[in-house]
Amino acid sequence: MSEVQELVLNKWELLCWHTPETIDRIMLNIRKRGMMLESLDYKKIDAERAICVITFEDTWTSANRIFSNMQRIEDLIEIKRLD
Amino acid sequence: MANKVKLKGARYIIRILELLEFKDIFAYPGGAILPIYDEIPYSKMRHILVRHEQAAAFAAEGYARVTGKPGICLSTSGPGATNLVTGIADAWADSVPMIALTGQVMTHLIGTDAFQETDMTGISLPITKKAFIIKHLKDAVKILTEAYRISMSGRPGPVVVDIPRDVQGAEIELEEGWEKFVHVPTIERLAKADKTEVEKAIELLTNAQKPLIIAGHGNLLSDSWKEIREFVKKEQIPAISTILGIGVFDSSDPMYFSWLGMHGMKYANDAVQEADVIIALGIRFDDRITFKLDKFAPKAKVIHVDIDKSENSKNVRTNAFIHSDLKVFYQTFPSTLNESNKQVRANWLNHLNTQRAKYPIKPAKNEKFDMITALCTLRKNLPEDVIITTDVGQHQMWTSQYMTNIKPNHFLTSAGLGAMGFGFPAALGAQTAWQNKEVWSINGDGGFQMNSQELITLVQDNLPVKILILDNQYLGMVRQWQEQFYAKNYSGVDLKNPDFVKLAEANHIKAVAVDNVEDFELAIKQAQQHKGPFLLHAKVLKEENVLPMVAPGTSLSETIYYSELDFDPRAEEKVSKSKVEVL
Repeated sequence: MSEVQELVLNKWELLCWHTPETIDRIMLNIRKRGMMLESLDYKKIDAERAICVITFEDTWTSANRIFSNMQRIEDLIEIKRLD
Repeated sequence: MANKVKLKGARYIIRILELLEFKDIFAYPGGAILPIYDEIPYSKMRHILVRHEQAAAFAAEGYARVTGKPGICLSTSGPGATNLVTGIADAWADSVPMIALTGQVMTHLIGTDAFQETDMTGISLPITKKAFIIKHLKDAVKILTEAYRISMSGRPGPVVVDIPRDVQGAEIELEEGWEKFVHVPTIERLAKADKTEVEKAIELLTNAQKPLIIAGHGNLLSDSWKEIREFVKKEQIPAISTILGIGVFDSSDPMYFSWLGMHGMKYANDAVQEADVIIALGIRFDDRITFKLDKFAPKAKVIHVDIDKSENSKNVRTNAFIHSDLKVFYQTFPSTLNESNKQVRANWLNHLNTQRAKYPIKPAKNEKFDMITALCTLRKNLPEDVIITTDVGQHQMWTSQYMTNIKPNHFLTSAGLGAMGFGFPAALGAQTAWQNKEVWSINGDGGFQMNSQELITLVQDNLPVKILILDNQYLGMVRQWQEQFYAKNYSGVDLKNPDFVKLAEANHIKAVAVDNVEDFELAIKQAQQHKGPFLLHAKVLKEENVLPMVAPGTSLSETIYYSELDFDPRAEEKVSKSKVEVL
């Protein structure tokens, strides 16, 4: 039997290129798993870039895979864990 | 001051595509793309008029897979655009560079639920690297050049560019000579390998007792097959490949032990389970090769080299991840072969050779006309540089097993998405790119019917694709699973088929049907001698199962091999002691 993992609150900061689809591409990695964000704070920081801080609950293992998936976003410059 | 010129949007877009050196476009017209179509007759690009947009997307993929350049497809808005989706998803799954151009309703109608309006950039979001809308013509060069660059750079993939109809119809004022500022983007090879990770990899490989290379599609996408062949030879490390890695190695290379996975070679699967260090080169550890992750390569430390850092420990935990373009990696990674591990590697290689001789794939039994016999007969009659496309299902697995010695980027199959209907239009695309090469589209009877409407496209556009339908009157792979895992409760798999010869003839294509090996061989020659497209309908045995097989929920260690009854004992005599695996 697989071990039941505890849900943890994940808080990540994503530095992105500011484009029409940036938020959608961040959200789709959460949405496609049938999950929801606890919060999303998106701010344009200069003419071309934005910072997005998201929080969501998930197990450590599953969150790690989402973290990997996020890195395939073309508009992502850097992703940091704040949790 | 430079003189000004005025261009209609559609003309401007077509001219940009020409300047980006697109030569062929797979397309289907409709209302929201009419201004572009108004310019197509004056373009240098060859326009291939498919009969369904899905085929345009698959054809663009076929084109991209054989040329290494982005394939381009074009459709109208709404249903035209949504029909492209499966092909776009296929390109995403197999990392194929593609640009899908879609018409869109006029800008002021977006959001009104206008006729043939769909949110194409939204729909394609999860299956594209990037989706653009050209809202203003002044952005067209930047967007189309960027679409090209993104589709090709890093891990390749599809990009959608949605163009509202009013933008296509608008005018733009440009400075004379604007064209000299449009260039095919230079694709830089990424080399971000972390020194610590490289050192870890060197140490792991140097001390390995049973090192094994798994080579994937990344080697073909990065144009690195020559380098990996040299790397393997220099390092004396045996190699296997994924299905998409077929063609990376020459099948006769003594260091190459064929491909692994659900229907891979037993000796390749076993090698993974025995290896103590795996060096995975341009692969993504698909579940069809790993199965139960905790039982995959249980003894191995894993070195993973990939251009996409999102693959780092995504599925299989890696001990060293080298983030690099493969060509750069092969050019810079130091040799780990030394006096102390030379013999160790030779012993491991000998062991794998013994395993290969012990567990070959089943030879063709020429006394009955099954798919294996048909494929072996076909292979021996094909030229060295033949391009093969497969559809999806049993014939795909057998083609992968028996069509050996295929050149790099000459074996096209839908691996990640497993999209039935892929093979025939992909062959159409490949033939468009390579007019003078022999292109064979190998299909099952089910998958062929998913895009059989393209028969007439071959005729209209003079594409001499040779089509083989291996007809067992079943959706064979589904039937096999129902036999093995659902107590033979065959449901929805029995196919009442059309007369494929008459279907071909109705489309002005020469065709024959055969039901035995002798006639089949004659028909192959007839197809090859015929200058145009040709359809060969092979009526093969109905209920055959693809083996070897790893059942779902198990591991590579539990690869099901042939039973003694299933295996022709004469094969033992024919198996070469060294490396021949297909008789």
